[in-house]
Amino acid sequence: MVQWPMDDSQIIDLFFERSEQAINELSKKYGNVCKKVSQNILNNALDAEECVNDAYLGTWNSIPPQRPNPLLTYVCRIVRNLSIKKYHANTSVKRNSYYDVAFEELEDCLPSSNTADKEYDAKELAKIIDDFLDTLDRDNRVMFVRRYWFSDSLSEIAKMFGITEHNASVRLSRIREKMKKYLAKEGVSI
Amino acid sequence: MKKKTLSQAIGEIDTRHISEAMNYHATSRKTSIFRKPFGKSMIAAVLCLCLLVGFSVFMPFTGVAVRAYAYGTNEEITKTDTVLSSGTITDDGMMTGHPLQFYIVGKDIATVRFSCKNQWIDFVDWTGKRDEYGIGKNFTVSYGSDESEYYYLVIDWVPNDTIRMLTDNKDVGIKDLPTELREDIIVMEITYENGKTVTKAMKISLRDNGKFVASFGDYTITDQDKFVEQPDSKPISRDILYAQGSDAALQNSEKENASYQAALSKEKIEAAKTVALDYYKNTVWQVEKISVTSDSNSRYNNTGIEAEYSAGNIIIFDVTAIRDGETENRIISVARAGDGKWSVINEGF
Repeated sequence: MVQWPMDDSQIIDLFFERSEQAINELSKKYGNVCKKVSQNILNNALDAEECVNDAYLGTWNSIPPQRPNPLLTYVCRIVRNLSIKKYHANTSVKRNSYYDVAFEELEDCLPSSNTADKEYDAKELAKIIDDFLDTLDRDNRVMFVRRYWFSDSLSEIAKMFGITEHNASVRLSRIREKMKKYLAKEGVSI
Repeated sequence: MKKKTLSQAIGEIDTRHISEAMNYHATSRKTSIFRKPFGKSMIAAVLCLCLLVGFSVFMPFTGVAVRAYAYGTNEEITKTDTVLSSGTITDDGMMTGHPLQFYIVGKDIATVRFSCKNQWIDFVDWTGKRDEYGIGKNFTVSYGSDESEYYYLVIDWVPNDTIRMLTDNKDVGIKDLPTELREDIIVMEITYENGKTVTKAMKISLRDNGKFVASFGDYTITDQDKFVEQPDSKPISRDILYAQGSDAALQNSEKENASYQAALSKEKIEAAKTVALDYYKNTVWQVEKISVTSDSNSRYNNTGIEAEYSAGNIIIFDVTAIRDGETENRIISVARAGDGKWSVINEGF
């Protein structure tokens, strides 16, 4: 029997049929990607595995009624949310994950608060960041998302784009500077 | 609180951005088939492959089915034309996404030799276990007995020649393209673990509306298929391919060492600079300062754009520009094609 990954639609059909095989197929197809997303945030293999398993359970509970497309992004979003939740809850976690490093870079993008500025919630801010990402070219946009959504390390990003780590760092720094200006222009205060 | 909100906001960015980053494939390779030395190992590889081809002629095999799927959408590409949703091209050569990235599935495949007739192909192994080749025309990929890995062995078809024709010639649209820039074929010589072989092919064509269609099926190599006889690109170990600053990386990337500034006379650089300055006249930026960038600027290796031009045909400028009273550092790439005319091929920050 050939063991190739199922189509996403077939996996979702299994979820709808309430077949536990759905989890196996999901894990087989996307398990590595999910683990990496979680591992980047938690820097702990056991915790990452636990989060990924919890994400599978979350997926099981939400499909049906949902029929996400693309499935991978949907599952990864759950994994990321659970991993960050665990990261904040677990005070014993050392602050040395890629998530820490990446997020500390991003903090500098926050404009200083101004009483005249509107206070934005996460959803509103996400929309503004989406708009900002649309102003970037594809490579810069992907680089930003890989660094700050997936928490990829600089060396991974450098490999992905065929550039040096230093170059990746400089490009990200320019993107952050752009974002800072963009947020300030939008009058963002959080 | 601020941090938490920002973290949550990043987590809630649109799915399309996440999917794009997830499906992004490394395109900035620093090597190409033209830069590889033709050594003894290459000759040996060609001889082995010739033997394999000969073997397949005398022992045709109609065994286990091989299927091809579009990477990202997992849509099966069959004998009938499948419209590809992952990438399109416009009349002026603007490409969105990747028109065709695919993987094959089957059983007990030992190797697949890929040969691309008109354009270019790039192999990406997401398991990180196999050598890669940069962008090339012919190469052989080891598959192995673990069929679950086949999904991660992705072939990316790169129609650079079509893009360049459309971008370099404003008068040329998709309808005007010659057949070889609208149609292509990737021949796959598949060798199974038991030594038997089968030949398949992926046919790709570009429609007038900028969409690509593909079909996948059996194929018989004929005497006219000279492109199949071209030697394979030499495998490049991933360590070397992705090494930064190592001797090996430098050897494999002659372009990195090129002296772009020295390759052009002062007059030519001035001509290119004029084109760059003219470009900004139609933008919101006011140029405050413009100077030739360093030869080591990584943008010279930007595959699909700057990397396609050799020293003497490209120059990149660092630009200090002002917009709305704010100063920005930007960069502009100017290159010339066969007609000798300079034109802006890339601009950004």
